[in-house]
Amino acid sequence: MLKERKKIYFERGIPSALTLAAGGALAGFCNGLLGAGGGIILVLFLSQVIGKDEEGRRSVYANALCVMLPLSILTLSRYGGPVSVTELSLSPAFVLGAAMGGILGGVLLGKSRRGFADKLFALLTLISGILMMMR
Amino acid sequence: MFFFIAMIIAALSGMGVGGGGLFALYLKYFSDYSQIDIQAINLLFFLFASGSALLVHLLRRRIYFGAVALMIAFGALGSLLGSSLAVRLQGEALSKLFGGMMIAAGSYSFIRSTKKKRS
Repeated sequence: MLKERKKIYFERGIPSALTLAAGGALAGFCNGLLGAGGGIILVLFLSQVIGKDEEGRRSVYANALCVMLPLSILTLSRYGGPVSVTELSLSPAFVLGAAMGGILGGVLLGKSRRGFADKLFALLTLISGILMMMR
Repeated sequence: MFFFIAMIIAALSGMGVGGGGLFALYLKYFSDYSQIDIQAINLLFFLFASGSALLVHLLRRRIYFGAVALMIAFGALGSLLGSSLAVRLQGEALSKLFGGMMIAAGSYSFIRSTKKKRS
């Protein structure tokens, strides 16, 4: 496995590093500006470097999550907000629902067919975007 | 009810199927928060949801730490720039940008998933 990981990092050398740096910067900008959307940018760029097979594609999503967590904390520190935002965000329903759902999603990621998940992602995102524009 | 909505959307987020935008959409239609506050709550939601999902991923050892570190470093620069712009923009402009981003993301993902099915 170590040999395979070294191959991923060094086979393409600088192009891989540039791809990752560009993806990180774009994802960070999107996350900072909109509070969302950075994840898909990371997935696109990570797929070019580490996502060539089924297992690699599952790793892409996990690695994208690793990047988005600290970026989201940084963005959140810049946003600030009223007390009501904090009250909602720390309510038991919010915290427990989000945490339990996240664990469930992590388990399901390993069991779901990638094709189905991709289509579901695309459809939900597209519909959400249209509804956001209408509001 | 709110608990189940949060759990379902968080599960989708943990699977990598774009739960973040869905939660913002829910807040947009069912709350009176401004767009910037919705984005802040959305980020917190993502932190709780993905933090727990990440635990599962780490246990299965799927993380490329070098790649992650590089992306975080450059991502931090992008985040500083983006958030500086966000706090200066009007709420409606941010909302339209958010919706436009999701339409673009969803369209691209749908086209890509269709192409993969054909190949």
